[in-house]
Amino acid sequence: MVPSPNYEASRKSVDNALKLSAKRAEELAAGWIERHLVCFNPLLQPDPRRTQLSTKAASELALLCSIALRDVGSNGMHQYREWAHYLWSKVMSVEAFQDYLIANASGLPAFGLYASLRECGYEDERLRARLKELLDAGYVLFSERPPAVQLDLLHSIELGSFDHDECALEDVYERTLLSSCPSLYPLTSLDVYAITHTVFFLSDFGRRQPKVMLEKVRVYCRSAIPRLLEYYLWKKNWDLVGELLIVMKELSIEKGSATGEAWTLFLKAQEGDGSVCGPREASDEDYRELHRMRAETDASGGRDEEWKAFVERYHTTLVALLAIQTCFQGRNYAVARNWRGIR
Amino acid sequence: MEAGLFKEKACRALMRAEMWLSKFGLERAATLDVEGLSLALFGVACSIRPKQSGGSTSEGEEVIDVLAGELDRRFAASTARATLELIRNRSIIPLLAAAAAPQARQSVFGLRARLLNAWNGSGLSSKGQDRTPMERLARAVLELVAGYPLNAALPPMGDWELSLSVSPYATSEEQIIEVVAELNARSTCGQRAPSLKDTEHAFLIRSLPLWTFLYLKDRNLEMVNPLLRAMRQIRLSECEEFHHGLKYVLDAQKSDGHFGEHEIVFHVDRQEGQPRVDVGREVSLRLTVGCVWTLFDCAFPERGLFDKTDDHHFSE
Repeated sequence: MVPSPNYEASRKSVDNALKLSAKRAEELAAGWIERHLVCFNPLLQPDPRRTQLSTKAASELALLCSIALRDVGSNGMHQYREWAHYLWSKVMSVEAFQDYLIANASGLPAFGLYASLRECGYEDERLRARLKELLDAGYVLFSERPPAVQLDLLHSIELGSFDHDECALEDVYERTLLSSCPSLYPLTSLDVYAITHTVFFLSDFGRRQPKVMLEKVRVYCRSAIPRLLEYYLWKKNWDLVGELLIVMKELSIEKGSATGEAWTLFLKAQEGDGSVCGPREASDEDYRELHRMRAETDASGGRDEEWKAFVERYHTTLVALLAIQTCFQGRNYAVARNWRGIR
Repeated sequence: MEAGLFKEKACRALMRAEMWLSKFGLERAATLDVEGLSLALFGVACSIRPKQSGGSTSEGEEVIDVLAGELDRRFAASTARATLELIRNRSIIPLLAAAAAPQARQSVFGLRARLLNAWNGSGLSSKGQDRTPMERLARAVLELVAGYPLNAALPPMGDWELSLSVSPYATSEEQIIEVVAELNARSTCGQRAPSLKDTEHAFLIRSLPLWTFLYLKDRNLEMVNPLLRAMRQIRLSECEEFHHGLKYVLDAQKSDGHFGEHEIVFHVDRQEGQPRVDVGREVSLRLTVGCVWTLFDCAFPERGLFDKTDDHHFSE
């Protein structure tokens, strides 16, 4: 252990440097995404077993683009526009991929990808009609899934401006873990993901106040979210650190210098190549299961190092970019929608 | 948990733990190693403390005679070397046991005298040698054994601080153990308020509840115990994590009186044949002693686990 000359004082000077560090981190992370763009294209995967994960990744990248492009002042706009264009032109507009999405309707990516890319200004009336038909058939809405995942679907449906009133957001929210204000001690990492995602979708990633959230839940969040952030900082689980930082911003939870400290550690976790490594808690049953699922998607049985690195890092790298977008970019949401219908 | 209710529950838990510790200690006194004997002695000393009247001899005190006598014989049998090695290696469990066991017992008196003689002859008593938190803690516990300050009072730590150059979120388990050891050294294991700089106090107020939360969430009984005692030492007994921690410790007691966590692992191990570890010695004894120390320390802070030392001599 080394002497600590002036730890508290040094923390105060962090805030100004933090914005610059975040900007550099964003550029680095964007570079990594750029170099791995083919992995976000399900149509370029050599093994069909990779298609599912690649589709999920594409949907998450599209969501990031839609959030970044909401903000006309975003410095990283150019890159986000290019990625959205890539996902639209090389993936979403390919009929075979649309057929794949429609045929696998129980999954979320169909509506998520469509809605996010629509937010970025892309539209396809024929695909929209097919998705509406799917929605009207009822299966998609009433297929059984955890409440936080159902909120994800409802968010996409809302974002896509589909008419629906069969499944109320309030009803789903009342069944979420967050609405019960659970004790923090027994929460697993998957539970915490359920909490962060509930906030993401209720607040439309910070664009609105989550009105269905009762005051007692807000009070709970003001103490619970910073504590969980500290826990995952200590665990070096950068995936949840990023998500919890976003939640703090979305719920306007202020923790002053502690938030700055969390950001400093989070940004330091970035690798030289720009990626941020995902959780590696071998002892945690949840992550063993997550890794098992991811490993199953790896058709090469671990031989393909690039794909393996992508699987381990893409989500946390996207979370880092989303966190930077959410917490450091001024939000004014003055996006003028410019539909680029192609059919 | 309301303080009176906690004290009542802690008392009952200590009584049940005494039964397990006494049975374990008596059954295995001849085969336990020095640290195991010391743990059992320390555990029994902690668990009988609330009901010690100073008058009649309790069953627990008889167990203490057996364990302290056996420990003393072990040291005597290996001349002074094992004792010196013990002190050199700064294994504080035997020292804690000798300090906590009732001084009035002849067996304990003999054990204390042997440890102090070994210390005085070891050449470790000269000023300025105790530089690490663990070494300083060993010296502080030796002072408890002696009942008076050793010939060189606890030396200042120079530029070492109870605050770290890194964030509390980036602290390793080893660093947390060092911080708690230093706090114990400065408070002589909770006997008096520790001397702390303002920056150190601020760091501890921020870090101790956080670390306690982290280990409570991970259900790590071994780390929760020293952190709860550390929180009590700096008067953080009103904070939420402290109360959660005490409840967690109480809930960790099993029906036969021992304390444990994650015991399904050992159960499975036993089913599969030859257990890989001596669970009683390596796990149950260690955790039970940690828990009874915490319960006594937090339920009876006014009583003190160790015989009164001369505070006048301790003033720095």
